[in-house]
Amino acid sequence: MIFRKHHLFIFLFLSSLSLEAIEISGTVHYERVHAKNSGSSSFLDYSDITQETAKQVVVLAIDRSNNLVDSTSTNNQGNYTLSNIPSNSDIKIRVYAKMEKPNRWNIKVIDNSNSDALYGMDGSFSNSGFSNSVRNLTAPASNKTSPPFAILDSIYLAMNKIYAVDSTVNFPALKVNWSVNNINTGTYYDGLDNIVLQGDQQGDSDEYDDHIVIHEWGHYFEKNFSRADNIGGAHGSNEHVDIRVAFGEGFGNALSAIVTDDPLYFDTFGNNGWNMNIEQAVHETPGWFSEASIQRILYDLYDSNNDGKDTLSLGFKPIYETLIHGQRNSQAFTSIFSFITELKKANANATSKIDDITANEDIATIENIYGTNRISNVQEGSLPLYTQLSVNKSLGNICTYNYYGVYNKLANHKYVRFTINKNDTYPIQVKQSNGSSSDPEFTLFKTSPFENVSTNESGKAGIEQTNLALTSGDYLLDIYDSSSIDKACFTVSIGEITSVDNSNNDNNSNNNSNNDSNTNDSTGSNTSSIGFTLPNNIFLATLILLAILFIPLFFIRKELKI
Amino acid sequence: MKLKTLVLTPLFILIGLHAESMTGTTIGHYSKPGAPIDMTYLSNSTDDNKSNRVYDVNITLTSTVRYGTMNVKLTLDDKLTPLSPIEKELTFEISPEQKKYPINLQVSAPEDGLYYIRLLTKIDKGVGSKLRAFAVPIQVGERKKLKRNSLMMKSHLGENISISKAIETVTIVEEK
Repeated sequence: MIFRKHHLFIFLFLSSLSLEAIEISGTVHYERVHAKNSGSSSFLDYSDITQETAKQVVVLAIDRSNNLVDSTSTNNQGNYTLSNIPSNSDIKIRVYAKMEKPNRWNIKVIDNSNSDALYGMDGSFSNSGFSNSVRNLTAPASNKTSPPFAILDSIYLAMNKIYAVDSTVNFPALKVNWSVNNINTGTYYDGLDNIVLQGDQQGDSDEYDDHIVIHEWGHYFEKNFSRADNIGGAHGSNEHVDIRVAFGEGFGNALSAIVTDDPLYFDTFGNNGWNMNIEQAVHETPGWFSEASIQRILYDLYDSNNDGKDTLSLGFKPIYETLIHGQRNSQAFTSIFSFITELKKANANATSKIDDITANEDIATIENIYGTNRISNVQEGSLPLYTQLSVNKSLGNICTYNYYGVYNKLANHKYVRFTINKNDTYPIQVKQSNGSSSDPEFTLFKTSPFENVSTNESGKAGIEQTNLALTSGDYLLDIYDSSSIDKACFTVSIGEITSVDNSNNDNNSNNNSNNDSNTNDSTGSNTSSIGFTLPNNIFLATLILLAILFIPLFFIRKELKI
Repeated sequence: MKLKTLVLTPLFILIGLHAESMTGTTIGHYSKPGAPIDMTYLSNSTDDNKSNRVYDVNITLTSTVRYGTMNVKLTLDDKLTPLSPIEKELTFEISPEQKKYPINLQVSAPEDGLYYIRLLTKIDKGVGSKLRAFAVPIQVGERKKLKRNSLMMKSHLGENISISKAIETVTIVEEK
């Protein structure tokens, strides 16, 4: 056979076809189930589902051997293009619930009940042919494919809000743990690199509750870019809570409204749920101890809707700048006091309008980070928040109360400030001074830079103490009673005692007919976690009983010839 | 009797005595906004009849508010049967004197699995109300996880992935 030129041409042409890369492009969507809000009730409405674009998510082309052929991410419109697809090959498109961009973000949604598997969805295998093609993928809600993408989209919105005011920010890695098996896990940020979201399809599930996802992301943001001294615990918007909790939770709620530009915060539980209007909710118990007040203040500082005493529209940037600078470096615990003080310093022209907004929440003009000169509209003994102690003196009548509840409520903790002028070892002691039922505890912080100081305290009943090598600087002691009795008073001392200062009397002019009883019932018990935990005290009792029975047997086994 | 038997026997007794007993609390944990209610629970198996396990469930609700009305809606998983009629909707009047609000019930389950008693709680103070949901686990024998319609597999990098079916449209782009 003579090999002619046209044979060569046909051969080369066919070869080039098989080597030429083609393009697969498309758009990735997910289905979002919306909440129906009626009065103060909200519930997921499965007849109201829209297709939303999945932005900045990882897209892969996979061959039949499970090899990666090409990869990219969708853009801000959910579009992707894969340009290196071999023609005439069986390829499927896979999309991960993951956003990954170097020096920008690394977020994934995983199934914490199943080996932390990364969620994703697959199209079908289809031959790539010899022409470009468009493959559009949608994550349906019906088979629970869409929740991870809905969660990611809420977080994308929050990050975009930050980028709009600071294009240099680099978000640390974050894992969002969601599963239909997350039935009694709770929804929370763990303080490190995990958000956990409930996924109980017969009860409380949070995958479509965007304000809740953003609220939890707000805690992650505070931890990594600002500072959050929030001690956690259950909380409600009309409570008197610890000032750190009030700010931390109020900020999360406000952020959810700021990011979505929608002040209606909702939480659905299947056919049930509730909502609150961040901006317009009734002022139930306004004040510096109220997360509802904090969220209204922050939202009013941000929004462009001038209503009532709010005539200020700062936008997000001044709030963001205060959070990452002044609030982050504050020498007091993070609260509305530290935030507003720093905001006013950085925005001196807006001071009077800022004061108007805080006054609308029954908060007297904030003059410093410690909130001094508070008007006493709280239960007796709740003030002062901070007390100054001198080294080598002791301070009496530092009292905690559980009038507003236990663990994280106003007056459960009291703060003592002191200054060390000379590097040395100092004894620190907190000793009960009323009765014998309290159990004093303390946490120590150095304030510049603000950091927790490990104390290794020890104590016998009624006393907690330690000896610490301290360097010069300012410190804060956070004092509380882990027995949570109605009223627990302590004497606090730093250094060798040369005199006693009892000037911090806890009586003030507030009279309250609902005075605390002296019951010792403690409802606060930071014992075990929800879920699969060890048995209770019956276990301990049985262990002791068996030990009494068998330990003597152990020692006389030789005599018994066992 | 060998020393090993002497030491291990009490350990096995303990395990046998306390199988299928679960306890937990929400007190002190980070939580999202909602009704200011905490829950502590204890569920204990009281009957070792493998065909019909019986569980004592003790639930205690606490609240940090001093006044108001706490409403509780109880729902049980389908296969959990209460041994006596239970009120599915409960109301407690909150007062400073009463710090704990108990709910006690006995349930049985015919087969292995992880079941839940769900509580939807609300405190109504007359100025808007918030909700909080809880779930009390009842573990009977082997736990069975709920499944999504997805496949567990390994990615091209060997990591665990959970893959579901997407809705897909494919269009060939006509060459000009």
